[in-house]
Amino acid sequence: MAEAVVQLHGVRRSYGDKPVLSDVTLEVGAGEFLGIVGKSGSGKSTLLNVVGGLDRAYHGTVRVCGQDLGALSDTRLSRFRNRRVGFVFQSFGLLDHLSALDNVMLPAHFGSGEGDIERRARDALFRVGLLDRANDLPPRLSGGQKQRVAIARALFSAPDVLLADEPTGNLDRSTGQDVVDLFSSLNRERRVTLIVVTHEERVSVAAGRVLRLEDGRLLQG
Amino acid sequence: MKRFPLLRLVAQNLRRNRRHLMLASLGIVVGIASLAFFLGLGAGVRRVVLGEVFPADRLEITPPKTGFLAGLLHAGPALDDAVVRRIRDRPEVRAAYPKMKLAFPVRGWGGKPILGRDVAFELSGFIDGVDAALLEGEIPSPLAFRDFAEKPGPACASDADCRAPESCALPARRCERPVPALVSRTILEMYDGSIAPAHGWPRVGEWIASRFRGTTFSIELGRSFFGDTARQGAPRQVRLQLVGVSDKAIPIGVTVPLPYVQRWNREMAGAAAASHYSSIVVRVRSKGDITGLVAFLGSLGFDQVESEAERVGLFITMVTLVLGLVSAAIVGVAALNVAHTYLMVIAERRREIGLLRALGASRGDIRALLLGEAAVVGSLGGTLGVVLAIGAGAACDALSRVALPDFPFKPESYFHFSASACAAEVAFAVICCLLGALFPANRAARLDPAAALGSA
Repeated sequence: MAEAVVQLHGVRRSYGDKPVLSDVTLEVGAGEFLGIVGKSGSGKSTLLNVVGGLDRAYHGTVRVCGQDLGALSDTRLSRFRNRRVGFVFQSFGLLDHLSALDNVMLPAHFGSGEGDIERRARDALFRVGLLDRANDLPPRLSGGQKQRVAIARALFSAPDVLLADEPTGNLDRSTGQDVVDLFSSLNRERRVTLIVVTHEERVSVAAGRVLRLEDGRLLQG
Repeated sequence: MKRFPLLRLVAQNLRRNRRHLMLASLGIVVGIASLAFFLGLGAGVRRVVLGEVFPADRLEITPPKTGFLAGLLHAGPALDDAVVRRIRDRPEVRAAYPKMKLAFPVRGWGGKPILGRDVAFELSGFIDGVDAALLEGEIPSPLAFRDFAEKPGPACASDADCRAPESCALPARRCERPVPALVSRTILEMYDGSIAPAHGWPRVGEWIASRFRGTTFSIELGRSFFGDTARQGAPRQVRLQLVGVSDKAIPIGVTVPLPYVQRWNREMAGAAAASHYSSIVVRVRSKGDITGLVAFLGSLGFDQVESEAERVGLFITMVTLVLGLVSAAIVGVAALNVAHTYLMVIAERRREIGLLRALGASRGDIRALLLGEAAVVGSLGGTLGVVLAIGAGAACDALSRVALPDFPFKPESYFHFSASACAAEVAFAVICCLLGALFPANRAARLDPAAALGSA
């Protein structure tokens, strides 16, 4: 495995009395495409939130890009999310009142705004094949196009790790396959480190390694 | 968060939530409009009252009023030329103008050009003389308010020997111009409001009075309609000429240049009456100088300083304060409405806030974003409120011009909206909105991003 970008050691997370992650230990190498599968409620999204620095109420150690997330202040953790991590959500997470281009540029409002912001955003849209829809509002885009705009936004800051939470969950089979292909090409051509949680087999087929999460425990897929 | 992107995001969010925020800012608009209206009204009335009716940069001092017994034991300080000089020497004093009342009986008659027939009037105690400098620039030419008898005119046997409007004055038998006389707005209002209706005489009004500038009437020095006569000198007639209406004239009566009163008092009441002033009008360099001057005058024994301006100013301040507080309370309630609206907006935007956190927004960024929106709502609402207040003020002024009759000191505008006051009112609106949004913004900033995204 290449140098580890993500390292989790003995991570535990529970909601009240209910354990969601139980002693999870994981390493993800640079440029790896990791698929995490599991049933609904198995803790996949929680694991992704912990890795992305969105959830801090865990026990154990989480290091991403060499940074111990538990030791970062809110401001530094926010900066970390802004520069090092890209998120893709099942429900796309686009703001309907902003154009596709403005949605892609959103991270620039919080720090990663060096250089020509608009050019970088257009580049990201070009990469996902949606440059011609740059000025469209999300309600005018199809589900697949929305997800590609979300991926473009995740790529805008050139993150070290891309975290996708059920990225094809709201898409039909053909559109979902397009998104999976896009992930594959990004991982293959640009060496983007990908962690995708899903319950869909086709995603796991595209991934270089697949782990299964069952009752909060990580098992080899 | 960088400043420009923040503003851009704020503008985009405001466009999206404009309906909510318009409703939220409605209270701010109404509150600030009423606040600006009442403060503008207070400032306007204060300017008229303290600038024209009771000028705040002026005070009038009088000799101390003593009781009968105290008067027997101690006469008290008199207002004479020495006192005037001492006051004028003070660094905070811009000018001092002595006034003197006529100290003997007088009666008068005239008014035919204005009223249609001559009427008789008692003037004992109702004539005073003022320093002509006090009226400087107030009387338009060719008339003038000054001492024309300083140099004696040519000898005459009757009025026919003199050029109009001069007349042959007795007992000197010299041609003399009529004595310039001023009346006050107060007496015109009294005449129009009470005397004219009671006698069926025509109303005069300030405008009509100004048209009759130059009208002459007669007075008889040393005699009253009550049968009183002067202690010394022989009663004689003098022609007076109305040269204007002024707030510096005696409120009820007639005001003439000071030298005439000094000469007449010397002639009819003795030398002491010609050297003791009834009051001195003191104009200070700035309003702030009044306190120090009052203390100085107190040390001279003139503790009966008339400061109507202070009393009226205090009254206006109190009324403005009460109305301002009511308006401020409206803005305060509006701020609660803003808080409520923001709590609603934040509940609706919970997922969005989680998303922004995922994209790198810190707690401070979320707080700044929401407070930025509140600040814009406050500044727009405040500005609109001020504009509405100025419009309402202009409408009131227009209504006053067409619907209200003339009255003394009727102003062109009852309002004064200074740039600094308007800016302060807008700032107040912004502060109230910020305070209203502070709790919801803090709450939003504390949201757990994972929970807000609904992905937990």
